[in-house]
Amino acid sequence: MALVLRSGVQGRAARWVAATLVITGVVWIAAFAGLLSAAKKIHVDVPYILALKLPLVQSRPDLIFAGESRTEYQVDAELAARMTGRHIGAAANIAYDAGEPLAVLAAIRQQAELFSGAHVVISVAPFIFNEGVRSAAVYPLDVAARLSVFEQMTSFLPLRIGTLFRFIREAFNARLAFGQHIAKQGPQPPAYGLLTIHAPQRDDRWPKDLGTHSHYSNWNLSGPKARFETAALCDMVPLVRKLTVVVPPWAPRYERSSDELWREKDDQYVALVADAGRRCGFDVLNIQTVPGLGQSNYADEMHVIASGIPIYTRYLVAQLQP
Amino acid sequence: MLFSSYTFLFQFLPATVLAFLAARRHSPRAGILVLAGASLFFYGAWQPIYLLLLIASVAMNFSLGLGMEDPLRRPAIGAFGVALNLAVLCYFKYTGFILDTVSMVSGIPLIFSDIVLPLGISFFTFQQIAYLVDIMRGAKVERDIVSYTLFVCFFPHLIAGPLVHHAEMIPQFKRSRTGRSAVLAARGLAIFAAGLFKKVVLADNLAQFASPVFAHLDAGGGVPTSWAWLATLAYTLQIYFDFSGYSDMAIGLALLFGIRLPVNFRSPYQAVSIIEFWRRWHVTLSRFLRDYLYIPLGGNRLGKQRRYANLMVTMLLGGLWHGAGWNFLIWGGLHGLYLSINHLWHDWRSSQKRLSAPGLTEKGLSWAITLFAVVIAWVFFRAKTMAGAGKMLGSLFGFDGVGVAYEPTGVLWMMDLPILVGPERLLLIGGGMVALAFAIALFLPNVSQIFGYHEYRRAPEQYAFVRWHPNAAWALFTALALSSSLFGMWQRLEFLYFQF
Repeated sequence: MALVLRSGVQGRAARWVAATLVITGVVWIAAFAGLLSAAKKIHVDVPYILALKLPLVQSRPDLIFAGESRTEYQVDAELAARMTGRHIGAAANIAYDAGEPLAVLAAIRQQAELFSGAHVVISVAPFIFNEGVRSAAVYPLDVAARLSVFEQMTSFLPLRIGTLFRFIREAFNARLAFGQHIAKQGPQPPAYGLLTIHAPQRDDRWPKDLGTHSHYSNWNLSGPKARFETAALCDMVPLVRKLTVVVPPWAPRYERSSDELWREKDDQYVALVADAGRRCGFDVLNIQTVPGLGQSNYADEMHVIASGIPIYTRYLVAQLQP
Repeated sequence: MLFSSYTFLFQFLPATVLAFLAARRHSPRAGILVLAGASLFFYGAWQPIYLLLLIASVAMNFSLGLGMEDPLRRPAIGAFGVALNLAVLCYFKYTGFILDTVSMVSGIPLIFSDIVLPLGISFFTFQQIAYLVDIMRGAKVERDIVSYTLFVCFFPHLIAGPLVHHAEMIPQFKRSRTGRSAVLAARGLAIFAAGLFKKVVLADNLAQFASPVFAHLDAGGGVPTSWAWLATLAYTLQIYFDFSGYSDMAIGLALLFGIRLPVNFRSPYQAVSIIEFWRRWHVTLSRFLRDYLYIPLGGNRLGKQRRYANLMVTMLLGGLWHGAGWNFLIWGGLHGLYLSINHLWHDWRSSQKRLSAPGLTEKGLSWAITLFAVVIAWVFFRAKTMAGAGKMLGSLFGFDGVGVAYEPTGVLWMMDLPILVGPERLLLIGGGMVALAFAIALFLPNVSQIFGYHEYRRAPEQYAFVRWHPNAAWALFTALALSSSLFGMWQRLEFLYFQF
């Protein structure tokens, strides 16, 4: 490079390349900030994927299962309705992947009359509260929307840029769903919202232990996630007939007693939710094991396959206070 | 690994450039070794198993070349090599088509498994066929395996061209001069930015007006005339900006390493005749078809009738080169017919001695007819089924046809971000985008003209009213093109020509 800079034309060209790359970086950051700002402006708290499930509540079910993937893939609303003597359709499953309480609260506020008479059972997971989990796949986007553009950029750039990409894309998708009235006029999802995982993952893909699982990495319960999401749980209480927050179990192959790191972190986040429950008046159901739900019923460390759905659903419904 | 992917731009390319610069300081040969290694890695990143095919193809053709040093064995080995290359290409690309056709004609269901088409096989096979044919014609045999490998596998052109010629590539690898490397790199960066912008911002955003409409017609639906024209024109521009954008990126990338690739596009939609169109569109394929098919068939040396027959055969095979399907054959056939008519017209015009040079009106009319013919041919190129192509043609001329009516979503996708605008406004916006893209294609100078880019041992393009210089304005312009393209890269739409 020194040789290159010595010659006039060559040096000019080399400086031009360097300057162009620097300007590209500056322009890109400015444009990215503008795009984030636009995304924040158009963002609605009900994400597209939740809006697709909300037509289920148009029939005014009085038992609504919501939350993250462990409800989405594990709770059979039809079975729950039969078990509790309700008509089919009186229970619905509106949970979605990486679902967060803020989104459910927004859905409740959008259609308050449909939720006001319902018992809402919402599941939570550690990544919803642990600020250390910043990956694009699971970072709660409604929390991201509550950060300023500066906070977003300093929190996620450069290594977690994918989270901001997802935030921008989901903001536009959520606005589209809002504009198309999908939540009210969309088609009814099949199986009352239940999705099924059919096969367990390969043995080598199971995590070795849960103490070092990505949901518990960089453990920090004092960030905006914990603040906003627990507040959302509290805000739901007066808007529904009853609110139960569920902490679903992990696969039985993982032993709490022998994994101190996991136990400690898990207890902390359950305590956070339980404390909010005491303050705000919702039940917390911490399910550590389910009788009859064995390792063979699990697809991965946290989700069951089809054979586990009725076992988990029966147990969960039996635990719910009317 | 797409050129327009973050993995390529932020990992592969910087690592390769740094490794190349470090190696080049040691020796030019170390530089080309790095490039050859990086190119094989680039190809293997798609599906490692097909890297074996590429290596086998390179090794085989290189060895055949060495074997052809003996003049007595040259014709036999050369013919064998060309046949072998064609057989491999036929197996991977045309087996399904041939069996499908036999099955359709005979009524006997033939069972065969789908064969995965290795990326870029048409390109690297043709380049090596040209090499063998040239040796048969007396060209020098390449004895350096590294230079030969890099000629075939150099990653900027490996997947989708431009189709390069050994005589213009290999000498560049053997030069020791690096005196203007920064100047070339600056120009390369700017050309790459222009290509990336054409692909990601222009082509990918136009795709939304073409893809759903053609898919709807292929599925048996019908579309109104307005949407049919929008879709066809959007595709006309999408394929141009997609493919010429890819070629520009390839040229720009190669310049980063001091290598000049041939120009592949020279504003083809400005052509005022089909003959001129093929001198401007996919120039390196036209060159290949002319030198290795049309002229060996006799070209225009064996009388007029034979010339037209040769043109038809050349263009039919050119169509098949793009894909194994009747649609591509018809597309090639149409262009063969267009070229024949164009030559007939030229002959007739030349015989009219009193006719003056064409005026503006005549030129305008010629341009309109040419563009119309090209657009109609694209319908066959784009449609997945013959029925779909037929329905599109019907819709273009006011016959909406039967089938479920097309219902536009009313969602505009800008850089893959959805914006609800409603169906009527979507049509208007689509029309506006197509008009803007046409204006760019018709009224702006092409990349070779703007950047004064010239190929290996060729003079620069004619001067354009706007010309690149390494100054602040162009730095800002390039930065704008690059940074806006980076936002579109999350769409991950593949380059159209990857399938060929």
